[in-house]
Amino acid sequence: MQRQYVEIKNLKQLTGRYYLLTLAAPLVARSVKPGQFVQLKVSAQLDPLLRRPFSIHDWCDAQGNVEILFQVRGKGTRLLADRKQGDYLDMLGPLGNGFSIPRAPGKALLIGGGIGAAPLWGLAKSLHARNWQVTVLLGGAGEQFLVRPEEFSRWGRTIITTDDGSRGISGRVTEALPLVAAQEFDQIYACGPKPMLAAIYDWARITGLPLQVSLDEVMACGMGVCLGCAHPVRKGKETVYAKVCSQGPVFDAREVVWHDQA
Amino acid sequence: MTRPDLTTHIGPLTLKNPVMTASGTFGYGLEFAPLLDLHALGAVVVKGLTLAPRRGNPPPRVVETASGLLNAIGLENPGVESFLKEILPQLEKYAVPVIVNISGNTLDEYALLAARLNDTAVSAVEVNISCPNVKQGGLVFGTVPEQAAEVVAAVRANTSLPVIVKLSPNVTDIVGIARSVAAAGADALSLINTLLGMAIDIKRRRPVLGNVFGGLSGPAVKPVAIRMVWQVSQAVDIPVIGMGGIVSTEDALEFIMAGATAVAVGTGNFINPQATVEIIKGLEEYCIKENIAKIDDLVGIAWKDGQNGK
Ligand SMILES: Cc1cc2nc3c(=O)[nH]c(=O)nc-3n(C[C@H](O)[C@H](O)[C@H](O)COP(=O)(O)OP(=O)(O)OC[C@H]3O[C@@H](n4cnc5c(N)ncnc54)[C@H](O)[C@@H]3O)c2cc1C
Ligand SMILES: Cc1cc2nc3c(=O)[nH]c(=O)nc-3n(C[C@H](O)[C@H](O)[C@H](O)COP(=O)(O)O)c2cc1C
Ligand code: FES
Repeated sequence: MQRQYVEIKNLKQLTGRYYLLTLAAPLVARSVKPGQFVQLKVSAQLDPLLRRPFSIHDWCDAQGNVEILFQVRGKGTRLLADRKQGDYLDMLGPLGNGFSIPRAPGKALLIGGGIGAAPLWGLAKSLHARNWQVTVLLGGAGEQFLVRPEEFSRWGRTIITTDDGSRGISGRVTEALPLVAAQEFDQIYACGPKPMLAAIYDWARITGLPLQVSLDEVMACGMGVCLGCAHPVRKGKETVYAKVCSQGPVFDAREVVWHDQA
Repeated sequence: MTRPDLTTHIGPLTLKNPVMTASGTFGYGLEFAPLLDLHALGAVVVKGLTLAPRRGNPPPRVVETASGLLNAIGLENPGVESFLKEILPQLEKYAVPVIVNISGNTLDEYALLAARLNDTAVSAVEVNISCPNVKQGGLVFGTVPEQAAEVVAAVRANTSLPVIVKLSPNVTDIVGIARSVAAAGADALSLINTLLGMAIDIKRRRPVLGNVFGGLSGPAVKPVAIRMVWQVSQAVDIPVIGMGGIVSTEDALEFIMAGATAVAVGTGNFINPQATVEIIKGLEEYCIKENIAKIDDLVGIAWKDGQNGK
């Protein structure tokens, strides 16, 4: 983990509110694991105050680049979208644990909802490079909320769903689960809204298949010191809070407390 | 010109410079080791400890506001024993003074905590009588002068370490509390802790924070903190450690000129994890540029100069 000023090599709008940001960050490009994230200070001003967390979408060691794929949500991401090529950003990272990829190649199912598919791109690429067979389930509210729908098939079979039926199967991503047979897979990965993750867990649990989920919790420090990003997890019989930034963002779905009443 | 003297005295404790970390914003220090030289800091103040481990409040625990941060962590910590066994030995290696922030629900708990830290590698205790995020104790002790004094007396009686008392800004008369705590034997005062606040999520039509209320910190609170440091430092004879919204050298200087003998960076660590070391360098550069031999000469200069009619 380090803090550095990185140059914006490219910033382009993909569809709707999605942007692809390319940063010159050779040290991060060399050491990053899929599923890790960075904390970006989107402007030098004191408002917005905090850094904003973004998953590493892709990286290229040879060119020394890392890519962030982000959605404009509020004032921080709006400011980020307005930055220009050649600007420098204050970046902290790489942070978090990232997805773990079992050594022996097998079959993986990747499920991404909306912008949650951003980190799955780098994961799909890594799995592909390690001879895993990849199947991708990509969902979004509408076509413009799908993350690189054409290109994902580069890594394997890709099934697309949209809530409004503007592309692919009409319905939520979880409604497409019956199209794939859970037993076929050795490992499932998912990132997206919490209700989606909980529904996938209910589905995967029946088959007992390992499911890794990347959680999204509001963060302040991003490096395990403020305890702001707590999410309930099971530890033996107890429920405790885990720090999503440093103990996650990727968790074994069986450890996560999905419906916390505590 | 020779290097300016940044040495700072907090009661019996001597620090190599006046820049410390604010409790709860620097973890246990170790997390920052990859980013800065811990040994360069005046002191590391660790996350608030309690006797027994605490689980903390339900999420969401933080929300950003205009130039500020609302938090309701609820003093999550592993408990004092675990700190002493697992964490302190690692932190000791960095040879930086470690100040332990303590909280209790009862007078006895404060006393036991203080006693437990004697004969350890800890350099001082910071008594938190001002946490807005726990139901019992905490803030209650910090808002009534007599109760605040009782806590301080209980800690004083049980430790040979320097005793720093952290004050709450959520009071009508900060000077009254400060005087009563000083009279009860505090070696120094820390101020300010966070200001009680809240935020509503207009989409959900509910409070944002799981705990409903939270403590406001960051640049948004700085003017309140400066005002309190100004008042308290003139009212008591013990040193004041100023904090609340420090993100830059200029902010630190403002606190020092208002009367702070030392300063602590809190929320600023989240924005720039290297803020502390950058501020130390900045203070040194300022002293060189302004021909100031000792940083101490700047403490309270904003009111001292006025009094002397200079
Ligand atoms: C580990 C991690 C990885 C992430 N990766 C990506 C990524 O690759 N691409 C991407 O576009 N986004 C990602 N996010 C979400 C991103 O950090 C938020 O969208 C961003 O911080 C919003 O900032 P803002 O100033 O635009 O919004 P604000 O003005 O702060 O808030 C606007 C709205 O967005 C909501 N919001 C704020 N923070 C979050 C959050 N963390 N998650 C969900 N909603 C939020 C608020 O509740 C509010 O409704 C990630 C978050 C985490 C924790
Ligand atoms: C996330 C967070 C956790 C905190 N935890 C503690 C704590 O455990 N004990 C304490 O005395 N103060 C705690 N504080 C208060 C800070 O130490 C400091 O007094 C306050 O935030 C004002 O300084 P700042 O504006 O520089 O952050 C915490 C503040 C924040 C933001
Ligand atoms: S965001 Fe601070 S501990 Fe996770």
